[in-house]
Amino acid sequence: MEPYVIVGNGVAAVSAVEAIRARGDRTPIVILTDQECAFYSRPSLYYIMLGRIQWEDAWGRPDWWYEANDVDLRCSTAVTKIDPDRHTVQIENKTDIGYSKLLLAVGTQGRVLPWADQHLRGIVTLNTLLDVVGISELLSTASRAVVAGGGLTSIELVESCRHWGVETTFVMRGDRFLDKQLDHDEAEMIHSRLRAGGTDVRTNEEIAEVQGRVGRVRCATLREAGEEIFCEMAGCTVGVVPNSDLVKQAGGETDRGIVTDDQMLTTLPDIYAAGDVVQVRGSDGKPTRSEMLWYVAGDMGRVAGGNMAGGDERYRRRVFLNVSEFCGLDFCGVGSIVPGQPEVEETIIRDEERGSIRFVTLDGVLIGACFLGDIRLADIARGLIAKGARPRDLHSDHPLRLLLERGSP
Amino acid sequence: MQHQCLARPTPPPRRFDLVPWLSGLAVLSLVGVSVVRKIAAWAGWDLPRNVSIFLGDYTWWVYWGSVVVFGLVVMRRWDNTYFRWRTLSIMVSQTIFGILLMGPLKQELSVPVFWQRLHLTWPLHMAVVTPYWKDKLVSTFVYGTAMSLFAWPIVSMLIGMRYCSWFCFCGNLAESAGDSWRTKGPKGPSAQALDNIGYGILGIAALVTGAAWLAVTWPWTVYDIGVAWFLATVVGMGAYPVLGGRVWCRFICPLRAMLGWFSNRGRFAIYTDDHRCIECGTCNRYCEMGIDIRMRARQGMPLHDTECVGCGACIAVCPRYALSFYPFPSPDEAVEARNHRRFRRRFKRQLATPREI
Repeated sequence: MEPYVIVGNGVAAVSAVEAIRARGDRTPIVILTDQECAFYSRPSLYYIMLGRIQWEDAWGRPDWWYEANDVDLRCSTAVTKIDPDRHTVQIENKTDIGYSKLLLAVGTQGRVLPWADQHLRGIVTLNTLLDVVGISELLSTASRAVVAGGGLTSIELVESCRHWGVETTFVMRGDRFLDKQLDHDEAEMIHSRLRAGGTDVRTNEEIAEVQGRVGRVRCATLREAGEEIFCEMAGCTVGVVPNSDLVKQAGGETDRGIVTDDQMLTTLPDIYAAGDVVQVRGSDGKPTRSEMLWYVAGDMGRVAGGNMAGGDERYRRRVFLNVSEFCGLDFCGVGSIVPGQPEVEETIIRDEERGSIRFVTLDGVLIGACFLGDIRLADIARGLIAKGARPRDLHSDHPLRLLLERGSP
Repeated sequence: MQHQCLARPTPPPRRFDLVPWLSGLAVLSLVGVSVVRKIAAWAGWDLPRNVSIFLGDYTWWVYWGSVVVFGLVVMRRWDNTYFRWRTLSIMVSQTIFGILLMGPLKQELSVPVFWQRLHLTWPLHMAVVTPYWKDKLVSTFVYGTAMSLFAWPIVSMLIGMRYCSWFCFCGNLAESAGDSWRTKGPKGPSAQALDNIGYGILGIAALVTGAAWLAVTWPWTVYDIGVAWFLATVVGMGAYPVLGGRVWCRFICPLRAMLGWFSNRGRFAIYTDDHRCIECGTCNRYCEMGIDIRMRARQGMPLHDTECVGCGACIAVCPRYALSFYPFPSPDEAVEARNHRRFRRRFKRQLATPREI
C-alpha cells in the first residue's frame, strides 16, 4: 500500500502523525521536509536567543520518536510538484513518490523585501533554528543592527539584539508597533521602554536599500529620513507568505494560503493541509483569516491526521490566545483585539500597578481583551469570551466587572 | 513606569558560580564521613573519643548548615513566592526537627520522644512502627502509624507529595544543596522504566517490619545497611552532582512510592494550558523526577503523576505561564460560579501568576 506522505515537519505534521497512530492506523508515513533537522519548537527560538532556554530542549520529540512511529523522515528534501491525478509528489531530483493520502503542512516563509534579496552576510530573518545559529554568531561580534518590521517576530529580533548588547534601530512602516493588536497608547508603552533601553524606534519609515562591502552588510539607508545607518546586521521581519504554490500549481483552491474545509481537506482529492498555511473555509463559504499560532497548527494537524486515518473530525476554532513577552512586559492578546474598529466599545484600564488592560465589547458581549503588563486575568477573560458572556451580567463582586467599572468613564 | 508584578529582567550571562562547588563539597563530605563511621563501626575500630564526637557533630552541623545556607541561595535564585514559602518550610522544619529536637540539644530539651519523631514516617524511617524503642513503644507506634498510614497519605491526596518537598530530610537536602543540579535528573523512557523500584523496596520494608515484630532481626540489619545507609546516603547523596538531587527519592524511596500511589489517586495535579505551551521542553529539563510534563502540557491535560513531589520548578520556569497548581478556568467556571466564597477563593489563586504562587 502506498504510504501517507506529509510535506513539512512542523507541529502540524507531528500532531498529524500522532493522531494517525492514535487511531491504530499503521500505514507507513513519509515526511518530506526541506529543513535540515528534525522537529523543533519554533516559538522557542526567541527564548533560546534570550538565553532562557537551552537549544537542546527545543527538539520537539526524542530521537527515537520517528522510528517508534514508523515514520521515514527525509530532511533537506524539497517537494517541487504534486500530481493529484497520479497520486504522486515530485521531489527535487525529479523522483516521484506515490502517496495514498497527502498532508501539506508546509507552513509559511518570511516575506523578502527587495533590499533583503541579496547575498550579504548580515541580512537575516528569524524563522528557523539555523537562523538562530547565524544570528547568535553575528550578534556576538556586531555593534549595530537594523531591524525592519512591526510584528512580534521583529520585536523578538530587537529584544535579542538588546540582550546581546547590540545597538539597534527598529524601523517600522506603520505608525506604531504591532498595529493589528495594540492601540496607540499601548504601543507607546513599548516604544518608550525600547527608547529608554537605547533602541532607536523609527515609525512611518522603511529601509530603502542596504549596501554591503566585501560580502557583508555595511549600511542601511532609510527612505523618509534619507539617513544612512552603519550596521553589521539587517533583519527583515516584515510578515510571512504562506507556501501555497504547490496547491496553486496543481489546480487547488488557494486564497493567501491553502483553502480547506473544516475537515482540513483541500479541494484536491486525498490532499489535506494543516498548519499556518491553511485558511479554513468559514460557514459563509469564504476562507477565514489564518491564525498563525502553535496550538492552532497542532489542532489542525490532529484533525487532519484523524481524518486521514478514516475518522470524521472537524476543526473547531478556539478563542485566540497568544502570550509573549518583551521589554520586561508580558503581553497577552485574547480574542479579537484589533484596535480602532468603529462598531466595538473599548474599556481601557491603565495604571502603574497593572500596566494596560483593554477589554473589547461588541453589543455588551466581551469579544476580546488585550493585556500588556499584568496578564493574570487572561484566562478568566478567555473563559468569558468563549462563553459569549456579557460583563454587565457578571456578579457585582466579580473582579473583572470591578475592573471594567473602574475603567469605564 | 514601574510595574510591581511584571519586572523580569533578562538573566545576565552565566559567570563562574561558586554555589555548586560549595554544596557539592558539603554533600560529598557528608557521604565521606558517613562511610568512615560505618566502616569504623563495622570493623570495630576504636576511634578516639574526640574524633567520634567530631564526626557526629560534623554530620549534624553540615547537614543543617547546608539546608539553611543553600536554602537561602535557593530563595534568591528562584525569586518566586511558592519557592520562598517552600524553602522557608524546609529551613524551619529541619531546624526544629533535625537540629533542635534530635541534634546537639537532644539532651538539654527533655521532650517526649514522639515530638522528636513527629516528622518521621514509615517506611522511610522504619523504627517508628517497629518495637525498636522498647520504652516508648506505644507513643512511637501510635504516632508512627498515624502519620505514615493516615496523615501523610491524606495530605498527599489533597495537595500532592508536599511531604517530599516541604518536610522530608532527604528531599530537603535535595531541594537546597541539590538545587544546583536540578537539571541533571535522568530523562526518557529507559529511566522512567526504573521508577517502580520503590514499590519493590516498599514490599521489602513491609516484610522487614513484620520480621522485626516476630523478633527476627537479621533482615532489619541487612535493610539498614543496604537500603537505609548504602542506597539512601551513599548512592542518593553521592549522585547529586551527576544525576541530580532526587535519585533516591525517585527510584528507591519506599515512602515516595507509597505517597505517590495516594497522590496519584487524589485531587492533586499540575494543570496545563495547551494554548500557551510552545513545547520548549524547559519544564522537562528542570524536573528532577524526570516526568514528561511537556507531553501533558501540549495536550492540555492535567498532570497526575505518581512521581511529582510538587516542587514547583516547572511552573516557575515556563516562559509562557502554561502550568499551574490550580486549574485554568473553563468557560463554565468563569461565568456560572454561583458559590461566591468558593469562587473568589479560586479566583484569588487564579489571579496569582506562577511566579507568585
